[in-house]
Amino acid sequence: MSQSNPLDRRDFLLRTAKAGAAIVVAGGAGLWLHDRKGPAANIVSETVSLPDFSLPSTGPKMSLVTGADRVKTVNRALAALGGIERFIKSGDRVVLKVNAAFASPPALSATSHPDLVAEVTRLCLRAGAASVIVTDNPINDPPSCFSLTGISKAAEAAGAKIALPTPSSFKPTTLADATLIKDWPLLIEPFHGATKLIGLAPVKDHHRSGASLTMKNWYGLLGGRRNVFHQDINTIIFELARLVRPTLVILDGTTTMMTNGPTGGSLDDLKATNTMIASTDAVAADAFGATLLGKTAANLPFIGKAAAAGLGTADFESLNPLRDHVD
Amino acid sequence: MSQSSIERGRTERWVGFIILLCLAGIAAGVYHKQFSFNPAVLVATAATPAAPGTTKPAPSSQNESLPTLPPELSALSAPETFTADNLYDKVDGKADLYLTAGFVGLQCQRLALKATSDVWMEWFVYDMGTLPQAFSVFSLQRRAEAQTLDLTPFAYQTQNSLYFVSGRYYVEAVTAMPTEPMMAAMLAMARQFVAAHPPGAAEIPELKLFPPENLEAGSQGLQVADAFGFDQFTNVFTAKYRLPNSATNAEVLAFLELTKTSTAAAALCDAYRSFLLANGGKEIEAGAAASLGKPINFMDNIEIVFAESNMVAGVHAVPDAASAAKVAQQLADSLRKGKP
Repeated sequence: MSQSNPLDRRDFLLRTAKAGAAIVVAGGAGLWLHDRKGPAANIVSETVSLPDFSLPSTGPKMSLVTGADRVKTVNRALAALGGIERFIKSGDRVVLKVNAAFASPPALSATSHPDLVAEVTRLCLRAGAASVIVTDNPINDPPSCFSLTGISKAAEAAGAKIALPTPSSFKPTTLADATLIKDWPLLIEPFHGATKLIGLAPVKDHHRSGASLTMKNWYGLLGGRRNVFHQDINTIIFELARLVRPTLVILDGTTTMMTNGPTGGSLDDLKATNTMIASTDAVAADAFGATLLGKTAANLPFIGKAAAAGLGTADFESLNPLRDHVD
Repeated sequence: MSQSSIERGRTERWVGFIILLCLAGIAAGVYHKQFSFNPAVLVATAATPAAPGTTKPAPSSQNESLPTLPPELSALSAPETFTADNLYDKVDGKADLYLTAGFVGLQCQRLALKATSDVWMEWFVYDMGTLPQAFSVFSLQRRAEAQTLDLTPFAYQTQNSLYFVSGRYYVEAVTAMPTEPMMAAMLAMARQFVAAHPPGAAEIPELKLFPPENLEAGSQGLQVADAFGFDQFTNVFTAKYRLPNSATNAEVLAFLELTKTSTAAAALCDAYRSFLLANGGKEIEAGAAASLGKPINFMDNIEIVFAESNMVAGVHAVPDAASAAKVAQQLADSLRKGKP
């Protein structure tokens, strides 16, 4: 076996210099190729946030009205809270955030019912609202969704304007201390100049979150590839509840989609639960909505998260909800 | 050793130390960065485990799975095609149900009756890649009050819609206006579809392993991921039993999963027992089915799990112990006779 020559100082320094040069070249190349701005789609020129539309003067209130006629029950539910005039004043510019997620007929109860959208529009205008805008971001073919759900026709006949989302309708938003809502596209255009926000949501089973109620309804204000959030559905609903502070929510439990939500499809998925809920506390509304699905607030982690953060109460009975019935 | 060798060794140690320090810094940077990804950039894709003995097939070509329309129907909209990347656009929160079952593609179209164009339906063809995967999504959404159809072995109708599996396809047809002409047209289209896409070998052998006594017709199902909240349970076949003479008129869910070897089955059985016990389950005294191991009381319901040959089987979330033991024993006997 031959003995290798020992490394002398000259060789060592030469090798060290070469190794150092390799490191510098590799590091320099990395630095040169590093895109500090990130992908172009995420370049943020302007971020937006939604105003707080809640009315501190009203405090947390809820009404529960049973009956099969949405027009009658929503009128009675709002009257029990002091009337729509308590929430909508002359000159208000009202946004109604409906659920128009699917191009599905109203009979399948996968979306906000057009009769309810029309009646709330009429009530707002009668209370003096300067305008009512009905909006949602259904992602897939918004014109078909608004048309086939019957929402467009009913809302426009009642005097509302439909705001269909376009790419320019979205601006990035960031929620403070959020895990998920960071630089995320928010449907903001319909809110320009808006002074009041009412959420109109149906009660539905949901494959991922267990339930689709008023807080989940804000999901339709997100743009982008929002399906990534389904991996952490309870957190995104909770963050949406922090992001969106409505004037009022109306939860339509006239017909509840008990199974196979959120799309449903069969009339067998539906049950007549004949209840209309109006509330200034979305957490309480959702906690009651859970009972229509045969669940409790404890079964739906997003309710617990929202309640723990002080966004409302999961103990809806503590609000002494005003109960009534209309034939 | 010479002085120069000692100095050289010391220098080399320092250089080596500095290089290691740089590498550690890079590793720390990578570790830190993974916790602050931008969700707008990183799009999570659902895992798509395959049903037994399958590989991912190619999607059907555009419109291949939409049949020729019956004469009484006309197109109300253009056909739409969705892939795993955008299925969510169409079905929102239900996309995961299909994606986790091996979804390949969706083609759908709205169709109207020519005579009364305001009466329309939507036709959905989910290409699930294989028969078991199509059966999985069919079974997970089956409506309790459904009426069985003679279209294929897996087909039913509700008052306004019909659902069936034909080979690799899971098909839904839904209308909000279930008039007689519309329901008839829907069924005619379904028959055309089955003729155009014959189901082929439409049997799922695992379903025959469930004993027939007290089995609820049409109650069999397949969960291809995270069955019963246990992430090691994949491709779990289930069937419901109703014991009319039991104290509680109990409904019992029996299950089984095939593994590659008896050793794997035993290990999976042990893992599920450990999962139950680690999450608050308590072993209780064995009753009638003592040979299958101690039942576990888990959240006030009874679980029995056992390994038989290369299969893991048992009963899940049964309200009373006697019913659980009875069905578990029936299942064990059936598996012994009908080993796959």
